[in-house]
Amino acid sequence: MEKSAGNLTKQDVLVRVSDDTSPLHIEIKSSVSELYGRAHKVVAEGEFKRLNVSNGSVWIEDNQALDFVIRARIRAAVYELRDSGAEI
Amino acid sequence: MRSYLYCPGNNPKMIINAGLYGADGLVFDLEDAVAPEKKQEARILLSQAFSEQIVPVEKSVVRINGPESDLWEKDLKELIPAGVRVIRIPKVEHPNQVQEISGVIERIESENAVTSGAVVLQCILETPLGVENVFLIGDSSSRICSFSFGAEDYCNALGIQRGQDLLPLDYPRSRIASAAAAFGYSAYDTVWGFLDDETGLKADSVRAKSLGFVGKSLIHPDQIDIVNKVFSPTSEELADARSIFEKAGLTDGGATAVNGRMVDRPVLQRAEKTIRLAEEYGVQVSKDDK
Repeated sequence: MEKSAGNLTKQDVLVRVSDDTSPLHIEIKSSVSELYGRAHKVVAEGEFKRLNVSNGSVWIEDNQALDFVIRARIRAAVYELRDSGAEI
Repeated sequence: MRSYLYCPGNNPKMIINAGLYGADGLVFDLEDAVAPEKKQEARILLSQAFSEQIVPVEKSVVRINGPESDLWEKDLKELIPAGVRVIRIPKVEHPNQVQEISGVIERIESENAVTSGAVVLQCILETPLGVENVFLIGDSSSRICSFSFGAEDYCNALGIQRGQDLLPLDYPRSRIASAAAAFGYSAYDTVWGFLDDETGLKADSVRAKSLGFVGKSLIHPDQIDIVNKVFSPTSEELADARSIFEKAGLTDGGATAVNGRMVDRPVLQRAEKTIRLAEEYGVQVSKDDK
């Protein structure tokens, strides 16, 4: 099962999360990845850790979002997934 | 607050920029501006923006989903722990709706170590029933701090067009402003939806001010300057207030005459208020009015 939150408008981010059982894998695509790719990864990993998510696949497409947006969209996608009955 | 700028609650760019335009207050909207399938992600986005203080928390309000929906409680549970302290409730029609919401807020405050009573309410009256019940609604909770008028739904209910003719809205506006004054609340006027009509915006604002409103809700940053100006004391009003205050202050406190007009306690109080507002909003007396 896969759920998403956010979109690709300016300063937003599209986060897609699926509940497969493999260890958490995060892929990030961003026009500013050279500058902020590592920082985005740290933000995303921190949020998944805070939400106690250790498995699943994550695709993040960033359009110059601030950190608070990344955190919010991750949380929304995870909640959507949990609301659908997924164990993540 | 003279101007309350609405901002869609699920748009990061607008949320980030909302505080830059000079509105006195901001209303982040979870109701009409958010599609039904996006309610949860908007709620979470706003919660994150408040908790990380991306928005100017002290002048920000959140319009939650209406009492008739099954969403308002989720909104409150997410937003109050994040630091939201002013909640705008749309489509209030009955006192028991406010009481129910107040009860839930009480519980959330308690569960999250928020000072009891710290969360206050702005009620929007936007239906004929809400307008008629405004005095009962005003007495329903000690959390209420203001009333707002919502003209679009009100006009829909009556089957009338919103436009240049301001007269049809005098009745609900007067009733709401009067009720607000009776309870010591502020009254905020409805939005003006015709973005290209600045003359209409000004006339609409002047009318609302004349009926007792202290400010207005807005849907575009371009409307801020006009509305702030209308709801500020004018240079002439300030000069007049100072003259009254200075000359009446020389008497023993009873009624007196200043510039050919009777000045008694209510007039003096009004002059004081004008001077205070002028100071708050940076209004000066121009050379012509000295």
